[in-house]
Amino acid sequence: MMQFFVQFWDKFCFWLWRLGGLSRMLAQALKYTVVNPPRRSTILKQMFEIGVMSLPVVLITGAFTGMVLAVQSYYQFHKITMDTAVGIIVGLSMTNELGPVLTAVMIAGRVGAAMAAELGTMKVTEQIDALHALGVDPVQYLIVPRFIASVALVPILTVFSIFVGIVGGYIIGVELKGINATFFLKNMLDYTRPADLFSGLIKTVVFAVIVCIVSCYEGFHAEGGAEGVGKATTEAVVSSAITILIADFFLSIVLL
Amino acid sequence: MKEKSIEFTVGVFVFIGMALLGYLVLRFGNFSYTDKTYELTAKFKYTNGVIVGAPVRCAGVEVGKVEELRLYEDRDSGVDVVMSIKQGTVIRKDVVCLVNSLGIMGEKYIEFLPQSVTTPVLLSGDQVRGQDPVAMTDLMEDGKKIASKIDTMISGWSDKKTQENVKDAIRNFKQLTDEETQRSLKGALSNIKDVTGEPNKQNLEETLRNLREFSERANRVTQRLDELLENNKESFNVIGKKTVDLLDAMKRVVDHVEKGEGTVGQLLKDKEISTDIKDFVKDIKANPWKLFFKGEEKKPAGKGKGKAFGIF
Amino acid sequence: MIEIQDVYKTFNGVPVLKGLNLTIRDGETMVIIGRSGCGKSVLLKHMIGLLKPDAGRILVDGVDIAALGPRELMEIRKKFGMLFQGAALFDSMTVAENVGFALYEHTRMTDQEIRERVTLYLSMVGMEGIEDKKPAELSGGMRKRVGLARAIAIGPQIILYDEPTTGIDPIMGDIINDLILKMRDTLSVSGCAVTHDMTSAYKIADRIAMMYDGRIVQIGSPDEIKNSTNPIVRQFISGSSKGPIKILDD
Ligand SMILES: Nc1ncnc2c1ncn2[C@@H]1O[C@H](COP(=O)(O)OP(=O)(O)O)[C@@H](O)[C@H]1O
Ligand SMILES: [Mg+2]
Repeated sequence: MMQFFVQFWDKFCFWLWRLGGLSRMLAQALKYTVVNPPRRSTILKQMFEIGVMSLPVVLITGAFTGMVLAVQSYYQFHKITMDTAVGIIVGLSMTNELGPVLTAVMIAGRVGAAMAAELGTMKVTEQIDALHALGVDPVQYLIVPRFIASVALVPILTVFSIFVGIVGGYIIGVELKGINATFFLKNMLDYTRPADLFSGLIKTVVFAVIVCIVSCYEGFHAEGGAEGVGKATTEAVVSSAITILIADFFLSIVLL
Repeated sequence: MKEKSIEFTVGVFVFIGMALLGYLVLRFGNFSYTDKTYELTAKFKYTNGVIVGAPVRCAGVEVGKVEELRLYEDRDSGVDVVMSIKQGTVIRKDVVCLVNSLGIMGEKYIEFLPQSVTTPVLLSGDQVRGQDPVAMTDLMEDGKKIASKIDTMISGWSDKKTQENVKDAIRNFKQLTDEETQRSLKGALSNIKDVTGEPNKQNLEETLRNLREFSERANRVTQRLDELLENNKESFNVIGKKTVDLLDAMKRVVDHVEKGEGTVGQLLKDKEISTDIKDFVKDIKANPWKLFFKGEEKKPAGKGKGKAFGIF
Repeated sequence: MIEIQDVYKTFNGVPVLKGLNLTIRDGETMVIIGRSGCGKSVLLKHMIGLLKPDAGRILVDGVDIAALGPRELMEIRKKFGMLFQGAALFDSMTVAENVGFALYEHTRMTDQEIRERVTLYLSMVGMEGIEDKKPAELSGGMRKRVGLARAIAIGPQIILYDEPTTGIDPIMGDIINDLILKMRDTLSVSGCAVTHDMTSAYKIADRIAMMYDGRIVQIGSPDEIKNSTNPIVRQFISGSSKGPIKILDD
């Protein structure tokens, strides 16, 4: 019992320590973003990696999410002859909830893992130390371009996801299930406000920060060769995804 | 060169993303009321859940939306519903303004029902008196009443007295149809044949046929009722129809019997049967519900019940 | 000049440096020898401020770098060039970008100027013509030489070499030894090399310090070390498994 308590306490302290480190890293990233932004070319490179290269996976996820939403809600609403409400479900869920969350989770899987692996490798092969030795702050040099690129481009990826999700839902609902197109769109547009879209995008910005900072933190704290890098990568994806979902819960409460 | 192409790709990506964002914002924005509007205020005692942004319709056409809800309290208390109405929408002083529900999901909106075309037109800043919607609690009360009526009715079915009643009726029918009675009836009738002269014969024969028919029908109805008693599952409708049939048949018989009071009345040797039938038929005619409902209830299936049936 | 005074460092409850004292004079090349895992790399990282001591002082030209903030530390580091154990080249960059990194980050030189300097440094380490290769395409010895070129590109006053000859063949090792000597003679920089390769140590060292159990046990010229009477030093330089050195299975 005592042992359990002590272990729990140790875990908790470790967790607090990590939380502190994450906050510090975020603060540093924000500071450098404003005070001493990195070169355009480094940001562009990250934007290409994070934004453009993630587009296919985000488009596929978004489209199928919209289609699944349409199919599922159609079967429920059809029972009570409210077929046209499918448009509302697809529109609202995609803009406000599933578009942002699933995009962020996919980004955690693709970009977060890559960040953790790359920075982790740099850590265990002393490249991070080399940066220090060459008089360059690794946070500024490695994290800030990723941070800026994530915060700028993940919301745009989410817009893509929302758009193809709605198109996918429309195709399933209207073309396949024969819901009246006019009412489908009217309901969707009536019940989805620009505010929903913006609250979705605000969420996305937070998610982008989470993915970037958590993954970079894990990478920076990788230890012990290839195995350590693997652990850091797994940890980055899992922690990001969990943090995204928890943050989503609270953001949903705050933003509604 | 490589950097240039990366730059270009990122640019295209951001451009398309922004374009989609703009498109979505415009579509979700419903910017149809950005054109000129004027303001009307409707005073309600109770608004039943109208929210800011709810649509305002005039004769079913969307003409504006609710801008503000203000609880007030001066001489009386209530809600001021401030609405923006599309410029050019004519709403007159005698307009009926009420809270209505949209579709199956029941969102509340404000509905104007235009009345005359002569009363003065309302201008920006004017007030109208809103008709208060029926509060949900009232509707619930109604629903409860109906439900309890249905309940009584259905429980009446399994009630002992009702069953007794129905059984009585059936016994009466049975008496009518039982063989001895029939034989005696036949005997009586053949006697009549002998006694009466030709002119009456036709009449009598008809009466007899009717009686036979009746007894047959009664037999069938009895059987039906028996079944019904055994399992109450048979629907009201069927019973109702059967009852009507039965009553029709009875009416025809009784008409004939009454017509030939002098002759047939005499001829029916068993006076008791005659009166029995008459009484029973009269009773059924007056109170058909006796077949189904509690004996004590003097007033048969009233309006409430009729309504209740109407629901199904 | 680097003065290390009474430095202590513990990792996860395991003491690695236990009150270590060492002075590296200007212009000399100091070689620190010791068993693998005795804390030589840790000591080097303390000198450049990558690690902070739990206790003690590290004076670089009289400034205690353990007490400096990140910004001042960043400035102090520009006095150092460091060749890491595994070269630690940035593998997302080309050789030229690696070597020119410090110039690119800290000077206002044009790309053309940087390119010229890179070619110069690469030719100094005998690696001209590989500017556009990625580190992954290079052998271990080539990486170390590129790493050395990157270290000298910053224009350092002190170069720290972490096991410069470990893991490469003896001929390449000798080429690197020659390079280290050349750095001292042509650029007149101080050096501190960490190694357990005695051939290399004798060749490049002005003085050799033997590190054992978190402290320096003997310090002296290569000849003094060669003829040391200290049993620990004797066992180490003769490469014997028998002697006073504790062999822990870790
Ligand atoms: N960052 C660190 N965290 C924990 N332990 C470390 C760290 N760096 C070094 N150590 C430990 O310090 C000891 C000395 O390591 P090191 O200086 O790399 O040895 P070497 O003399 O072979 O260079 C080793 O036992 C190592 O495990
Ligand atoms: Mg080492």
